[in-house]
Amino acid sequence: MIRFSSLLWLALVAVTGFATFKVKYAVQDIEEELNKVRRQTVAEQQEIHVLRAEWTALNQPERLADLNRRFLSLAAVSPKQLQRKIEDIPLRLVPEPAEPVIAAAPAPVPVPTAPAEIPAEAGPATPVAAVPPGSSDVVVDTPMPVAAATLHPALPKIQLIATAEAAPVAIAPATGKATPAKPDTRTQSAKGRSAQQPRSLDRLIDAIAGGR
Amino acid sequence: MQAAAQRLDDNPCRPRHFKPPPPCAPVVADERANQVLETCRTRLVATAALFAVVFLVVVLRLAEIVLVNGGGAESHIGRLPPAAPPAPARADIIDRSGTLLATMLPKPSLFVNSKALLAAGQDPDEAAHQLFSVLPDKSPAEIRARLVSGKSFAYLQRSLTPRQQYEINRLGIPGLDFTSEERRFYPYGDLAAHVIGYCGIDNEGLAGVERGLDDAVKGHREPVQLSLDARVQFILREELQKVVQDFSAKGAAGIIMDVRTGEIVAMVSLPDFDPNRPGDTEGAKSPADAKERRFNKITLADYEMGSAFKIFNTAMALDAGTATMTKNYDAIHDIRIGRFTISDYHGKHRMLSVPEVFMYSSNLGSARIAMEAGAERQRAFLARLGLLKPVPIEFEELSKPHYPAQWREVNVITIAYGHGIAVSPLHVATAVSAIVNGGILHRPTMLKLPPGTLPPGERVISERTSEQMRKLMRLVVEYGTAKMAAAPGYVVGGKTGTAEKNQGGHYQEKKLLSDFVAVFPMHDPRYLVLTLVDEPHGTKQSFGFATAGWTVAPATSRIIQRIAPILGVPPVDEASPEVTRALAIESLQGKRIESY
Repeated sequence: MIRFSSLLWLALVAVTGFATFKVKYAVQDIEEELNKVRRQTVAEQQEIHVLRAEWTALNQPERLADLNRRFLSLAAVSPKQLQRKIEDIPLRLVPEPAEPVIAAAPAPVPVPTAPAEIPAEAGPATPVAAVPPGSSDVVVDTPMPVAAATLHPALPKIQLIATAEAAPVAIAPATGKATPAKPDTRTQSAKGRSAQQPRSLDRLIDAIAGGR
Repeated sequence: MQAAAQRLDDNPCRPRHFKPPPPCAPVVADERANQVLETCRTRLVATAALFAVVFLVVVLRLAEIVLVNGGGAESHIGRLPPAAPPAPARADIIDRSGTLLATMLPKPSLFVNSKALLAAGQDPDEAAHQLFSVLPDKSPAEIRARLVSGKSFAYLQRSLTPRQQYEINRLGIPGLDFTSEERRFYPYGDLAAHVIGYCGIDNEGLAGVERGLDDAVKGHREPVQLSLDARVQFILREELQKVVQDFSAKGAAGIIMDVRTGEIVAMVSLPDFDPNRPGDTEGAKSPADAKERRFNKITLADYEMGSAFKIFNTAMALDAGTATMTKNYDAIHDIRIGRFTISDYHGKHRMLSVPEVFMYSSNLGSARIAMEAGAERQRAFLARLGLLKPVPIEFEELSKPHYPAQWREVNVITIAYGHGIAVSPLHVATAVSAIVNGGILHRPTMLKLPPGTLPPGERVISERTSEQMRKLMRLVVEYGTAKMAAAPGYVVGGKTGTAEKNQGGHYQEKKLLSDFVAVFPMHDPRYLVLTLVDEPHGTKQSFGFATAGWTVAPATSRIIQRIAPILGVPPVDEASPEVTRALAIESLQGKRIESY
């Protein structure tokens, strides 16, 4: 009669042995993979090296000059075009957050209730106020997507542009004359964009910073 | 019973495991049996102790492996293949912006084990024919001779292209194999041939920095960064090629140097060669021509630079105080000494002040300035500028200046205007850099210095003399012999030189060496551009002139306008007060300057 303890030990030995072999083979596999990766790395590095040499050879100034003559005909920069150093050029002036524009905007605009996640600073739905005056149709249409933009701080700029782009499309059915209306609204919205975007972005950044 | 058991036990044929049946009666523990049992117990204990020790050792080792240091796992990792390619035979050479100028590329070589080939029963004629289709450089007979040589190793072809290697593998001829070798490759070809130099088939540096910096390049992994700028190099080379073509000259050379640090930004010597095939005679008419192409005119040549030496002559006299900016010198009467008569090429035939002597490049005035200073002073000054010994730079191919062993009066006179002393253009570039940069002579270098570092230098002239020389050199471009070198916005200054070449002791009137050393911007010198053209011929456009003012001066203007934006030199308003104040000469104020 085998005693219980012997059985236990036997089972333990079996389990340990199995585990050991399992680990050993796993390690072997990983090692093999590592070897493969390292060899591959070296091969790739050598390949990159050869390609770099080839790229340099393809960039011979003589060859580039010839390609330029044939396809681009770019001329050399003349001293007249270089009156100043790059450091001398002032940075573009940041447009002042023009309060009057906000004041001029149609005041009683239905502001969609901002979701709870939006911090208080973002609450006043800045894009609404920023929309150029005189295009109340746009105003009605834009708040939603812009408010949505504030919800996704990761992609504020792209979404903002998308909303501005969307504006004329939203207007078109309202005016009833799709084609002639389009260029008009487009220029309007473009003007609006240049005026409103930096400010909206600033607010957006504030909102994001405040939310943290 | 006992006796029966004993008998059975004594039986030699008893199977080993057969135990005599136990006695029917219980064994009475007598004295002897007790003794036996005691012995057995002792032995058991001893064996158990032994096992315990062995197990303890095992346990300890396990503990060490698992708990202490991973038990030499590192040694295991060391057996893995390396994660980086092996160090190349020679390090890369890159230019100042990191462009690859020289690198190693794998180049397999084909060899044949003739024994294995013949043992495999391969027909050598057929194999040679097949190989000939891939290796057209060799004749079938030549290939066959190697195949049947009987040696176990014979090169068939070195430096195969990847395509050739593939084709040979496809032929499947036994006994052929490849050695993996590396070969030097210069992606920009002949662009900076003389600077980089080239390598032999066993990757030893034979010329240029490949030779001069062999220790830093050979067996190293880190690339060597040169002070050269490939873009500037290209512009200089292109413009010089144009000069050679326009004036059907024998050759040309140019060097661009940072006057503040001595870094060489570009160096061209034409005609040049492809360092990928240095021994190749393609494009060369003869082996002698190929050799001529490998000759670096900037470092290895020694030229009588002509009037460009007036820079040193004037600087010497001004620095020593024997001449001042307002002093006048006789340019009316020719100087006769021995069998020589010295006269002016562009004669003014009047008394000339020092700025005028310099601007109109008067030989007579310069000679009189030198005579006044004296031979000893002249020689010491030229030695101080490093013009009497090879330039210390990272090249092996350096010329030794030629100058008179005895410094007689006639030598003083000719050296004043750059004859009778022959130096390399690199000498002149280095010395002129010191003259214009405030008087500090820097050791020229091909290696990029970390930005913002000012290498140590040796003061050779005073700050004041340097300032005066800058004014004089500006005058030459504004009113003097090099008006065509002007590049609007870059305040170019310089000095022309046109020398008749001395061949076999005679000066050849038709064989000229025209050189021009320019510096820009003159009010705050940054770069020096020295160009020279060897045996130019006048053209209709230059009204038959082949002097420096008509050949290399216009080229220098184009070069400066093209390289200044690359080198970060902003154009300035040449009439702005800060520029004019820095370059005004008081003694000429209010005078009408007679144009050259």
